[in-house]
Amino acid sequence: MRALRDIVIVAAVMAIATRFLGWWAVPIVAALAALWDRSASAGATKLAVAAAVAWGVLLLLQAVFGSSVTALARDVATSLGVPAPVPIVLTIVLPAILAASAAGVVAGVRRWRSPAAN
Amino acid sequence: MPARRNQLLTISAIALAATLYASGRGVGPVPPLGTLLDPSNGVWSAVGNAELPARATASVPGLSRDVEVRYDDRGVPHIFAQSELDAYRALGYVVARDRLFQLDIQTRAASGRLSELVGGVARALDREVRSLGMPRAALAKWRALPADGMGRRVLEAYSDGVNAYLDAIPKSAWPIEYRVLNARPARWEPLNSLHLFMRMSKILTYLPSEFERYAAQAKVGRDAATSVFPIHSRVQEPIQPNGSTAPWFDTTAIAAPGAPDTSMIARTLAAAARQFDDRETAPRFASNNWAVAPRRTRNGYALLAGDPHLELNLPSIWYEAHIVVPGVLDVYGVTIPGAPGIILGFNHDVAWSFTNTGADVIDFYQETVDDSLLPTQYRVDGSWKSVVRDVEVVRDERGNAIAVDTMLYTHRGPLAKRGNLWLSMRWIALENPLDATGFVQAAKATTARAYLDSMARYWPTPAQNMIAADRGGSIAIRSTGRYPIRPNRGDGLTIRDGSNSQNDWQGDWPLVQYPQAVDPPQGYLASANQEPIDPRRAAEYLGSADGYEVWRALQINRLLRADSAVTPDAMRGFQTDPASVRADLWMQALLEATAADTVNPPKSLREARSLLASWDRRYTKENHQAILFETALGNTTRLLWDELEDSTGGRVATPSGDVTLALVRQPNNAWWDDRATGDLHEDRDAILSHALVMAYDTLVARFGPPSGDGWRWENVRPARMNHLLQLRGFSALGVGVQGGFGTLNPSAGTGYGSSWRMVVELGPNVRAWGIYPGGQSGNPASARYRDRIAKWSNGELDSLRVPSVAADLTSPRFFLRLRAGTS
Repeated sequence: MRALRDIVIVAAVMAIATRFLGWWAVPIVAALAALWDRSASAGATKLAVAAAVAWGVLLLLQAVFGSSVTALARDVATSLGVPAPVPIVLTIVLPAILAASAAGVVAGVRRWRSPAAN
Repeated sequence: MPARRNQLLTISAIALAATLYASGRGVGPVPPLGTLLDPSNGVWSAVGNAELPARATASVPGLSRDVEVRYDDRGVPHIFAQSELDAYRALGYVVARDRLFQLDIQTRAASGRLSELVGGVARALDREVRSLGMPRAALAKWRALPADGMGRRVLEAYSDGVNAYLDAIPKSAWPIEYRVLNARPARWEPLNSLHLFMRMSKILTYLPSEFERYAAQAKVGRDAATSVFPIHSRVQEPIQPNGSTAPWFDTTAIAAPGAPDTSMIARTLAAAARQFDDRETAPRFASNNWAVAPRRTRNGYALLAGDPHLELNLPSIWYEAHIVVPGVLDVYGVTIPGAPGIILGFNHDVAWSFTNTGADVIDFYQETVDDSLLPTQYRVDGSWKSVVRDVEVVRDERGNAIAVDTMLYTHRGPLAKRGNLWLSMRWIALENPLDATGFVQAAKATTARAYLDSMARYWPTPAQNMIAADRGGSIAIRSTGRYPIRPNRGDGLTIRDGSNSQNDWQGDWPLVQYPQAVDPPQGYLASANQEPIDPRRAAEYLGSADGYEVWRALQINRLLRADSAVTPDAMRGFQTDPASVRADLWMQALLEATAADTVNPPKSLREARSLLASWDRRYTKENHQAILFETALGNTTRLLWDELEDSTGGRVATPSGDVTLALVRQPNNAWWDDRATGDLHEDRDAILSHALVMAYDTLVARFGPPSGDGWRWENVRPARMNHLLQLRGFSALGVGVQGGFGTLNPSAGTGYGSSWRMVVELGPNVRAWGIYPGGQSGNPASARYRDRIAKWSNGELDSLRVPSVAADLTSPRFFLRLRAGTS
């Protein structure tokens, strides 16, 4: 339950930060969350999920209040010469990688500075 | 364990760095993924901004009173303002709201700054624009506009409106293209509209015919080149009625290929020329317009149809709008994003539309310079004059120089080197660029004649065949623009000696000499880019046959002659009429010529002839024969004009279709001989049979038997509407259309075509219909981005709503109130 709560909270922060600051808010929020939460590798996974959820929800909101996301995804994919689902999949995967790698760096630095930890 | 920790850190750091780089900078042609995919601010924000809000209020600096904008069910904004300048501020705002990226990219392209937006791929295009002196001329025009004149104030008002919209929107509302390019919209300058007009002038008047003729001379000599690149069309049915009820054909013999012209000019221009296509079916702009007097219409009111054929883009070049200023202005029609005013349209008294005149308004001069590498002076009448040097710098968004171009000018215009020659160019578009005054003032006209007179006063270029009809039942046409008088009443197909000032232009045509007609006895007027005046009556050189096309004119005149009770729906039908005079004339010759081989005709020839003979010569979507005919004509072009080929197999120039058809009536002319066969001498019949067999075999190899869907006209020659950045997903490719080259709807097979079809009936209450391919919105995620394409493809028109007061437009789709704001 605690993990789910953490994911929801971080996802909400990431979504709001993305909305107002842009994509680069994701690795920053992830890094800050990793500093806050010392649970190492499990933290990276949680943050990756939270980031994917954050962007997924933002995308869903666009679809609910705007026109068809899938139609636009198809057009963008055609323009980029990639299969139709790729833009949507990338939109979910990209923040996850950003968050996980940022958290991984924070965790790695912490371990490196404190060899006794863990 | 420590090693594993270090490994984890290293992997995470590399992954983070790579993802950050890909997200922020992009990799190769892939744009920055973070900027692109950010669901709030990236491409997906286009989904959230797809539709305009049902109700909105915005501030626009400079407004004297509030302006109300009601969008109808077709997404057309109806602007109700209390002053003209307020109306143009509002127009700037609503155009930016729907077409911001188009405004930006068109202007950057026109001002030689496209590289700033799309990078190095546009360098050549930018350099061409600059080398033609277009940005310099626009700036000079801007500086020359009187500070308190309507021309300048309209541009400033429009600019206020565009910038008010830019200031009002968050980054997330920027058009999707900026995400793809990782760029930001530029602020709008009043000068930008003048850049746009320069671009229009270039598209419509930069047609240097002399190069083709010189290049041909280098291959076949002067006599033959003059014969196949004539000044006058060989088929005549001019815009200014000549009293005849049928076209006439020039049947004089075409001079056979002769000894090459070895002069430096001819050789230089031939070396620079290459054409590989069949010119007749190559992408070309064109246009139709016609008007019918009340006595030839069923309802007894004047009718007008307009249909400019331009490059088909998404979003469309046109944006539909209605502007009302009570007691001053009530005009409906289409504007080009960036142009403050309605260009083609109607008010409650007059309707108007344009076709391109194709006049020759460019001349070149061979200059004598002091230094063949980098001239600083040129010689005129025995004295040296200084070459003006302009250094233009293209900068990126951070102000860094990304390109520097040095431009040279003589008193005539831009000076450039071609081969070993230094040529200066004189071009009317550079001397007297267009501004907005013409269409702003003419929109208030109450008669057809007043409309044309107003345009004649303010419209120097691009020369247009302007047609107008009014509620009083008058119809009128005039080829409006500035036309130069050459020395000794000469033509514009000679590169003159620049060292003699006597070779400069001697003035302009007087208005009375312009091609024109008012209420002709025939009861209708039509133009479709044909030669404006019957050469037997022309007093002066206007242009060469290279700039004209005759087939559509013949067809519309045929239709109008045959119908003495024209209805608006018949006018609509004419616009996509699939019949072709060109096909009628050719088919007769083609069947006759290929019938000569009757002893033992090859199977392909028999089948091809049989297929063509069954064709009704109509370019309907479903027919299977038009593609055979067009392919055979393309082959004929290549086989016939082989004398104009160089060693690479490309032609240095290609004569027009009316010349080719004239040769069909001269079956033993030496042009028919195929040089590749050595001593064997082919005549017309041999070449046409060969062209037809080749066409049939090629098509069967490619599409299978003629009964297959591959042969269907709509499948094999669809219209294409490319997105402004050529992004396939945002384009509409493969749109089936009825019509082909030489028909009234020549949209098939190219990225050019019918860009705004309009029919207006000038009765007590004006009624109008129109459509363009695309939609009002420039946002690819919007339902209004391509909502009109299906109807356009089917030749249908929308009924246009023309409320004179806001209250008449009930239940608007969107509502916008613009309030006076501070700058």
